[in-house]
Amino acid sequence: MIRRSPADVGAQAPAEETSTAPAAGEVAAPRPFGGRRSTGAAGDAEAHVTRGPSASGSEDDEAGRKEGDNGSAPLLLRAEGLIKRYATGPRRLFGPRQYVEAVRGISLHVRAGETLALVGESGCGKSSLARLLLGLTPPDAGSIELLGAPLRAGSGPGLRRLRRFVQPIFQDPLAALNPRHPVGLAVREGLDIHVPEMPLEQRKARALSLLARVGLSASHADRLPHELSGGQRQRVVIARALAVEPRLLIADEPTSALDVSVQAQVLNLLAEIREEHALGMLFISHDLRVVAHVADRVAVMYLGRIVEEGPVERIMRAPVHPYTRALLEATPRGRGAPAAFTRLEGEPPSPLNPPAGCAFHPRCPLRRSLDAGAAATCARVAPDVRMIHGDPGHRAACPPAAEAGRLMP
Amino acid sequence: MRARPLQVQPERSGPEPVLEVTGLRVEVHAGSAGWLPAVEDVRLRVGRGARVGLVGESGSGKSLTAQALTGLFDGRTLRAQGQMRLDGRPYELARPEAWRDVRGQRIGLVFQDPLAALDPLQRIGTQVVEALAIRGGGSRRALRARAIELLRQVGIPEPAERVDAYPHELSGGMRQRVCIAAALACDPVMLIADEPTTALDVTVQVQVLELLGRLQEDRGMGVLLISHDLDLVSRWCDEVHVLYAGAQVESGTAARVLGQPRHPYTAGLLASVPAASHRGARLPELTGGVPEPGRLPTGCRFHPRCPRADDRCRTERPGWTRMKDGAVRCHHPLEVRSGMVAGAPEEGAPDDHRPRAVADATAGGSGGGPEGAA
Repeated sequence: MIRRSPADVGAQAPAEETSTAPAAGEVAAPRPFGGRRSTGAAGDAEAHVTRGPSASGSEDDEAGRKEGDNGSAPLLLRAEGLIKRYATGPRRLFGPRQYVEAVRGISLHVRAGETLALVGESGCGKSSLARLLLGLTPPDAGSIELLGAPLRAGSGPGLRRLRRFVQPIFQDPLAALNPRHPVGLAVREGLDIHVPEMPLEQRKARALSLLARVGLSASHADRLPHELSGGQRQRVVIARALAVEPRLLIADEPTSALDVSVQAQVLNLLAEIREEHALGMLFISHDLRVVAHVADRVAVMYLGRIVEEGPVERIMRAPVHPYTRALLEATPRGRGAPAAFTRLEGEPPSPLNPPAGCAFHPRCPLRRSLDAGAAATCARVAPDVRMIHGDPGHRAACPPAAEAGRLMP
Repeated sequence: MRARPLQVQPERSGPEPVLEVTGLRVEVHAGSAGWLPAVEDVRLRVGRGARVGLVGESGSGKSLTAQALTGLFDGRTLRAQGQMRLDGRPYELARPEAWRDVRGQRIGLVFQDPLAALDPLQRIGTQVVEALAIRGGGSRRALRARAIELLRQVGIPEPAERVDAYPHELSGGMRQRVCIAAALACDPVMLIADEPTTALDVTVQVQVLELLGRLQEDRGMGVLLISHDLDLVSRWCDEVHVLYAGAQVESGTAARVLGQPRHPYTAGLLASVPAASHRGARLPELTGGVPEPGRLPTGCRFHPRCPRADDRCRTERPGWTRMKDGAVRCHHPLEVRSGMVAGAPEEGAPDDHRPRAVADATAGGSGGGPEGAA
């Protein structure tokens, strides 16, 4: 068995948390997490920590009480105010470079045993966010903590140590696997890197047992990725991720390339291993059907920001943000034509040229029913994410909804 | 969106269909293995103004079917057999060069990836004009005006300006609209759309499907919609054919096939679609995968994955069983649901290909699938 060192890293977490604990006193205040300096979900996380075993419970904030969010489970991932810009367009000799802001101030957290789903359409920045959280690229602003330790993208032994605790599963397993490596080797590789002290035979045996765990036989171990089916390849990727005993999986559209019958197999496998290892999971998907099935909490992204977040039942049954509603109604779920509300005009805007104010306003069906003043506000002021009245853990960024008394001031 | 009454009964007589395909067989050339059958004995009938869906997982042969029907093959890596009647005229599928003029003129085509379907170096107007010019007629100016009108019909805003845009200047949804405009340029009687919305975001998917629906009704075209998405097909089509490993396994009205599937494969497929109702529970799964051409099982092609398979299924290929609202190709079709459904009839037959999960799948599919058939 591999010795798991996350325990020591985990032990640092509470210390880290308590040092920032004072912030928890402001939990009840409006917490923008669309803005640059945002607390949002992270503020929540702090509240949880302070409410730990010895916490007085005086704060007992609504925000902390989330369905499906096990407040006592260790915090695996916490991101705060993440911003990522990419340079774009031709490099000119004089004059400024153009930037596209793919991630525009995002805060989130994932606890052990919890699945947070990130939903959004193409170009909303969900994959950019995944790259930040994996430490593949550094954010331009904001911070990421893995098990309480700051993740600094780049290199170094510290990053390598942290990498072990967070493993990616990408959409295309064929791209994720070396085409010339037998898949047994692919699974072993993580062990070679992270636990080189383990005897080779043991590493090999462990790779085989992991392949067996994901439903592949020893005979598969010598095959090359192209000799396997799409579903089998994704199983290899899952086995490889498990090899280093991570605490957190970041799965970016893990089943989007699979047929529905194979998708069911892979989703079941992910659910099992999540249970077995009490893994936290960030599950990125555009498919609300899948999200409804796997997630505990859902965060809906639109153009680099989270516009709504909450327990999966609340998001599915009582969505507040018009974009979430439109997404839900556009998702095919069986008989019948979609509701009239679905008729979203236009397409997701380009992040190159984001609309002012609420990024969703040009397409918003709700805005069309507003009076001129309110509609003008939508086009001018970027809304904060606010808690929803009587709906713990559920928050949204929509001023008209706030106006209607649904959001807390 | 689907207010029209059904105009066609599948596989039944009726008014002259716009497209009728019989005995379609497609073979792929697999190097040393020679020609392997990838699609066999497919029959299709698309009535005037009907929307017919062809559903299947990858490897089921749905796109090969589209290729064969549009003559998009050269006989070196792919060849087809079978007869097609289009608008009353017969065509030999094996010799597409003999009916090349049909494609684009009588049959319009829309593909999954509009960026690949459009020429990146040509303005979109030029590409629509090119399609219009197949029929000839009209000055350059007249053709351009008609291209603008077509672009307007497919919902491109400010078509008079966008006509000079290049494909990369448009969003994915707009590009697909351009492809639809080009497909409609010659007023085809039949439109074949192969995964037309798969590459699009869901909110855009709805828009494009609505557009296709409106155009289909206005023009009275027949449409063959090819998709892997059962929900989408059930929502948009009148009739559905389910393909598995190159063969049709079930056909009928969309409401019946997807609401009350009779083939264990259809049922299993429907049950494995995730939904909120499954939350926390295991998804019913069909174990294994679609067999490849050349490695097709004997008997019923689905038998290695089927919870109902018995000796007969392993040796004897099932024929069609007709029923109300369609037909199924299975020795042991699922019972018509009325409340609870009994288990497989061949209870005792032990079967090493019978994993528990598949039994769940069929039970789930027939006993209240995720789509909650009303």
